[in-house]
Amino acid sequence: MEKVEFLDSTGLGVLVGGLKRVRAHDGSLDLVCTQERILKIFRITGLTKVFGIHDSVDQAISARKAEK
Amino acid sequence: MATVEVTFTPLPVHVRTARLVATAVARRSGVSESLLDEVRLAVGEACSRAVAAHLRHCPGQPIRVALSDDGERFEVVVTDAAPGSERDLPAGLDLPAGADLPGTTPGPGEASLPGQAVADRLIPPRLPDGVGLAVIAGLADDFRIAAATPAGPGTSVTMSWKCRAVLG
Repeated sequence: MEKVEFLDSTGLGVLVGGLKRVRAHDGSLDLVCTQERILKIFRITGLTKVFGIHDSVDQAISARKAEK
Repeated sequence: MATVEVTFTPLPVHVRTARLVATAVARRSGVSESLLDEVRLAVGEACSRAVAAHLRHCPGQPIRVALSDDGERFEVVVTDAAPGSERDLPAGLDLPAGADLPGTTPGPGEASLPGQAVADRLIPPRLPDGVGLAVIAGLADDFRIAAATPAGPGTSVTMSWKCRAVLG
């Protein structure tokens, strides 16, 4: 999400929709986000508990591998 | 009287205009630069919610956005004319890990049932209204949601921020 300049609940809806679809196929969707203003939206809506949110792509991949 | 009032046709494309106007008036009113993103986002959420409600219930009626400042607070009131069934305050949105995810309404590219109302296809995929309201509640200094009129339909979402003392 590093190039995202604006995220509202419509954007969150798209992400949640994507998460539901990949989960239906036993996939996973993790996010990379370090921008405080974007992270704030995930915290306010409680979606930090739904998405894995990481500081870098490498960290996201390591975290996912560690879960398996 | 509000400092600036905007009335717009209930279409998602006009929400951006309302956001831009709100941000411009907020800046002019002395709202801190660091809060302008929050104003933009919160006003957008309130307008998107109103647009979705109008497309479902009264697509011919406009949505009103009133922006005002009394020197201490910058206040935005977004008023719709739809039946106020979704007026409840968001009661927390704690979603435990692995919980069922909030549903989204089908978007233009997704499968829709035959005979589904045209309005449904105009509405972008959205999380439930509570999410948008939770975002507003989390961003604004003060947030209220109430019936627009004592007896009639319509809902007013009021949000406000502190104005910085403008020097000179």
